[in-house]
Amino acid sequence: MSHNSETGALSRRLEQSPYLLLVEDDDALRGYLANCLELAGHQVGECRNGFEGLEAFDSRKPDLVILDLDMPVMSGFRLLALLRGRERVLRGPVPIVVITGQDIEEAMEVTTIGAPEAYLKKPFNSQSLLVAVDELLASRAGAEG
Amino acid sequence: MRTLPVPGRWSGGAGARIALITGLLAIVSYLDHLASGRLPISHLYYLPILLGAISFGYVGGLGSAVAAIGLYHLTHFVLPGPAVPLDEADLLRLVLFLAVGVTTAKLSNDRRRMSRLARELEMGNRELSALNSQLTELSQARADFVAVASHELRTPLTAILGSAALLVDRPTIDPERRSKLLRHIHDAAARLQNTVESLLDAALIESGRFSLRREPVAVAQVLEDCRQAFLAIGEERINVVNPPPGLAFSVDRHKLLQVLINLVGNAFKYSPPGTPVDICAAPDCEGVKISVTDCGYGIEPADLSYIFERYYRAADGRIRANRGAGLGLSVSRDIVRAHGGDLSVRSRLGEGSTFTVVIPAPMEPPREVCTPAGQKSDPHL
Repeated sequence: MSHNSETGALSRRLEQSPYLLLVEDDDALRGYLANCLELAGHQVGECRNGFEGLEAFDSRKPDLVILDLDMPVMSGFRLLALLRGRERVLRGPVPIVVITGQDIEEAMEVTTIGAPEAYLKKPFNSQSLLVAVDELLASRAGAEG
Repeated sequence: MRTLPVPGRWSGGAGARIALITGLLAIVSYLDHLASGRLPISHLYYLPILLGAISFGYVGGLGSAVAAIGLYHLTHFVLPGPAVPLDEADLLRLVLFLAVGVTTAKLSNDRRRMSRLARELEMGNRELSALNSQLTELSQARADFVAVASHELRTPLTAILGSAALLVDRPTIDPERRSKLLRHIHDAAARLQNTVESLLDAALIESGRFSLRREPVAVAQVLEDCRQAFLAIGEERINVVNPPPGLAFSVDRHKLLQVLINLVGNAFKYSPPGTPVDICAAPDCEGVKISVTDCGYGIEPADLSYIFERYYRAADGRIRANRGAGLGLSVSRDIVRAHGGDLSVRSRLGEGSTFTVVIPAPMEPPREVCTPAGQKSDPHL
């Protein structure tokens, strides 16, 4: 683990730690991601599918959303579009990180409707995820002043 | 010896056309005779000549020209009437009869040949274009298969690699987190194992080499095996509705268990925690019916139709991998169909879904009430 996320974690314990929404249908992957994010000092709301993701988003606005594009029944694409819709109507912008096994170019082709702030292609390591999350949280905090 | 009919030439109406030409020749020459050279009726001879040339090519053209010449000669110089000497105009006319007959015949033949060539060309083009689109579909389907497979493999790999890396980097991690991460590695590896089996099954099915090892199995036993598999990973809300004790069928036990585990796993994933998932089995007129029912979110009607497909055709006509559904449901359906049965789904949004496996019973004595299952087993999917 790099120093960045360690100090990030430390500083986060001092202030209100960011609340991240994690939407991932695969139990093992979701468990690993939740652990990884919690170890870095974030609060994580775990959702097992798009429906739970929408409910959780509506009941408490997260600081950032991580969602998997490759989910059955309600696909990540649909969830992404729905979240963007909610953003506009209700709650204001929320950065979204998308994870997928697809090639990034192909994923980008399809998601222009609700383009996420970041893409990660599986398999990725904790470092890439945490860096992406930290950068997006920081830039958003900066934007809000 | 019969000659083969030339298409477009000696077609059905040949007799009618000969009759028409002959009739026209007769009428024209009669009118010519009546007019006795006062009116230029002889121009009308061109009509049957043209018709003969167009209908029957050179033979028709020459034939009707010669007939016209003959009748002209008959009318003007043989039959009783005012004596009109043969002059240059007559000779010219007779030559023109021949010329028109021959030229029209040639033009007509050329046109016919060209349209036949055009038809053959078009047929060839159509075949080529069909082959081309087949090839495109196949290569796209193969590429999409790889994409579906790679996502199914990459998901558990991310959990395994990531968890292991975290454990390596943090030797002093607290024991509770450590055991959670180890659990994630184990579960992801089990899923990977499942995926590899599904991929191999899918490959075998696509290449037509998939085969089952059937044996007589008690239905209750298969359901119990499924329940045990989920208890082993701590999932308890599975509810086996007691099947009739003596009910048995001939199935590939391992593969059928795979199917049930897939269906039950999906049911858990798509229903709220605490809601039960029911498996029940019963005989029916088709054989044995096993249903997996959840009280979950249900499936969108639009998705129901392609939930079992590995690929689907998107709005722009391209074949896209059904990445969301992955391999599980499509391979499950293939396995059930290889048994001669089928896998279907009923679902209501907000209420839940029921997936139903039907395995036909072999060699049942004929019944009056129900017809035996007519499902064809088709591994070539």
